[in-house]
Amino acid sequence: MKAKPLTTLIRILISAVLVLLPVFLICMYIRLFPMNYADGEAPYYFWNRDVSRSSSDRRYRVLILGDSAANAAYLPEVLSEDTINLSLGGTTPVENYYVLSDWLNAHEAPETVFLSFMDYHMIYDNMFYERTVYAHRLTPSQEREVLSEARDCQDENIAIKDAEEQLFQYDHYLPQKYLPALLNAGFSSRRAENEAHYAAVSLHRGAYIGLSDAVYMDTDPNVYDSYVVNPLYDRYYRKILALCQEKGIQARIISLPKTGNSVLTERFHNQRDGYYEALAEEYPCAQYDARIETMDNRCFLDWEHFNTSGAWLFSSRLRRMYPDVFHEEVPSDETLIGQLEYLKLIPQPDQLLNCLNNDYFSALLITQDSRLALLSGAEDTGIRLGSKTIWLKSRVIEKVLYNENDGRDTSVSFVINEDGSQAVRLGENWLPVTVDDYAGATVILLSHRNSAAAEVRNYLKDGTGYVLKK
Amino acid sequence: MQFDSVGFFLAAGPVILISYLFPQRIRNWFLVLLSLLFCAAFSWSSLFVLVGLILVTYGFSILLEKNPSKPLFVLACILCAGLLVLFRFYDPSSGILFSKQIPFSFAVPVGVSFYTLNAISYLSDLYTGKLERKLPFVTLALFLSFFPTVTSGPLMRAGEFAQEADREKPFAYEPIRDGFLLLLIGYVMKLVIAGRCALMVNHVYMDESLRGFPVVLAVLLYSLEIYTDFAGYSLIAKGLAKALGFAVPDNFHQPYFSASIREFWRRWHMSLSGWLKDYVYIPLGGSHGSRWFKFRNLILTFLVSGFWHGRGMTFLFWGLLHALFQIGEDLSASFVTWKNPDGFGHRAVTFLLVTFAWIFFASTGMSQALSILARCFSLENYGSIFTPAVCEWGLDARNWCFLGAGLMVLLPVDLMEYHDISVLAWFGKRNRFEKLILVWICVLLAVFSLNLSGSEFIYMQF
Repeated sequence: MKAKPLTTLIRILISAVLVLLPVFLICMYIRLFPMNYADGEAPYYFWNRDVSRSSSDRRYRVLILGDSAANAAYLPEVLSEDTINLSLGGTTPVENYYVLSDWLNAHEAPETVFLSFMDYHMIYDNMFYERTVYAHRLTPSQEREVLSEARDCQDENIAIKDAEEQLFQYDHYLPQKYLPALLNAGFSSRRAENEAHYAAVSLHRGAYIGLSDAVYMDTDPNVYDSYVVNPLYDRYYRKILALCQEKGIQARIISLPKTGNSVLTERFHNQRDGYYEALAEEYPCAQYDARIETMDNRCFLDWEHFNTSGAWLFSSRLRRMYPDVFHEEVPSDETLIGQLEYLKLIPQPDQLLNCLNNDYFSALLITQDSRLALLSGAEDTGIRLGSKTIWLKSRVIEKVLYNENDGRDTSVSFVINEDGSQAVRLGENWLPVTVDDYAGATVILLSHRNSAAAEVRNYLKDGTGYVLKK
Repeated sequence: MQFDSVGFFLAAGPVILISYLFPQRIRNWFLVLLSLLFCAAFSWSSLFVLVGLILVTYGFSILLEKNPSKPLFVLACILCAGLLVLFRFYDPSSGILFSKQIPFSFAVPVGVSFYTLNAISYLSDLYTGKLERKLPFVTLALFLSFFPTVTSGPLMRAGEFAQEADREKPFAYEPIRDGFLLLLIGYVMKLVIAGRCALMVNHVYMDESLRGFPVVLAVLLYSLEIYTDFAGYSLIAKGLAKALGFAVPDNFHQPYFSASIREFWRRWHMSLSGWLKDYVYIPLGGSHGSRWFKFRNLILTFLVSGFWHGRGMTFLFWGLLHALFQIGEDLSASFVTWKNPDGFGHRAVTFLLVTFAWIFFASTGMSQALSILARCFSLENYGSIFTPAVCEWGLDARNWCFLGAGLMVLLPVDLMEYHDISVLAWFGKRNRFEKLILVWICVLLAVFSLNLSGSEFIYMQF
């Protein structure tokens, strides 16, 4: 007897569901447990999405938007308590418009937005699908809006031939887009690492790129001769500025400094500055600032990104340049923890010296012959540390580190015990010290807030300077 | 829209089910419309050329039915073959046709190599009287555009297809189930095996510093790649057609188990070799006449086959090689009586000869082919067999495991089919649990290979 069509149809559908069940389960796993397998910068994108879209009691008056160069350059803990860095590596004005838009939907509008993009990301984006869409930073409707705008601007980076199919695959967590990560992670082995990254970016209020002690070594001239802007990114830059205008937000367009070996031609200046000055004229809320053209190569880890000491220096300078934006405040414990992590990443004692905060961190330098100095950013003379010369003080010093703001004080003294061992006393705490045998020096990074030694480093003497002993 | 695209995966099931909603007399029109949309999804030129060929072929069929004159038939064949030759000498990347720059550029129509042969076979059968009357327009349109087979075959005969098109196709569970099972095996072959072989082959072929064992391994894997790629596609096409109620002929019958080159061509791309035999070899004179006359026809037929695959010297040389191999077999049979002509030795030699010829087929030019050959003749890297160094030649350990798993699916299927045991019938006898597990294994293998496959099916480029 022939089966009825409805019975046949039901059999087929049940079979289809059973056959596709493993695929469905994989898709659900991909959807529900991204931290288990996600690779690359995904955790940072997740944090950015979560913090942008969920409201909180904490008010941030300053937002940083931009790409990886901006993320590396602006250190929120150095800038101010109410700064948050929402820039994302690999992004362009396209994604940042939606970051700002999401933020404004869930939070009170900031007073100031800083915008910085490297030249490359005003022309080209090869990460829209692989990062932004992969990490679901945008909603499906935002993605389609971007695609529509990209088609209108004839942008081939985003309006690729099978764009809808790509978006469909990502939006529905289809396995082929996430398989390499799933398989490389053995499905779940990245969870701890990703959670650590998420926690770190949360601690640093968005900064995650450039936290490195690497130094840019290239000395060949980097010539910048032209500045071109992709029509799509121009459109979205204007959308950002229009949104700022609408919400009463001051927009600061900051041209990030380039490496010391950069050569910026007149044509480059005309094109770049001309573009941004025209924007600033069109949008009264915007101001363009290119005052810091270059910084020393030691501030960079590559040709575009600051390393930690460079970022600290840049952020410190920016803070001085915009005192009405970055208010003086007592840093929270969390901020100091973040600052300390930065300081720990700065290898050279002279770079460290440049970054030390007088009120909250100091460094105690002890040489092999027990001479010592308290380094708190003050100009001293005596021994050379990189480009600086430090004079050492008396054999035994006693100094009170006094913090006016919170009234705490910590006395620091250096003691040589009867058995020849050395120790540093910080308040009530004793810290044994062993100076390196190779005519080196020891630096103890001191946290005033905690009245404790945060880190002890041994340096080897290297000619007229010191190198960190790894 | 390729068979391994998401759009295809999502559309195939609903489209097949929807087709059964239509009564028989309208269903074929629906399938024609679907087929034309399928072509249009590749490019507008694919659609225009196909529609143009359908109309021209139908027009010629009307004329031939009324007046089966030779000049008319020859003109029709020249036009159809001319279309193929035209696109053989057109380079879409540079817009150059017959070495001249043309003012406009367009994509090479997908499937043109296949439906032009179908059109020629249809007109030929009509002219010779194999077909008593011309096909109705809808049947002819469906024959030339049938979406499961339009891009890469298998080629069919108009009369057989017409019977399939006219046959009542009740909405039943078994054909749809069997169709999707064939589809699944096809995807395992293409995605799991062919895709991975391609990673290694491309890596080794491009890295001129690699010599010896990795090159030999890559050459062998190319044989596996082209077989699983094409046979996988053919199974997908057959499975789709079956789910729609159409029986489509097999295109491969375990060709690497062949004991001679002649047998190989009875098992490899059977629809094309059958077409070449019926419409090139036999009209040239076939095996009639002297031995040398037969050899001449063989060489010409295989040169046509080579040209059909591509206009480069390597394709022609590949075709010539196969002709020479068969001539060699024929001549050797006069002098030598083999003890065990179906034995392992013969099969191994056949496989090696075929693999040797594939070197030319796969190369971009004669210099690359000769370079690959030269790189094979080195004793380097043989110490790397069964060492982790094998994972540095394009396939990491995980991918080797997946390749092994894919072969564990393919080998039993091929062995069963070689011994004329239908894998579908065997599957049908399993209990529900076994069926589900087997299907899930294949589904998971295919799913975990999806990200590898971004490349076209090899035979789509022909």
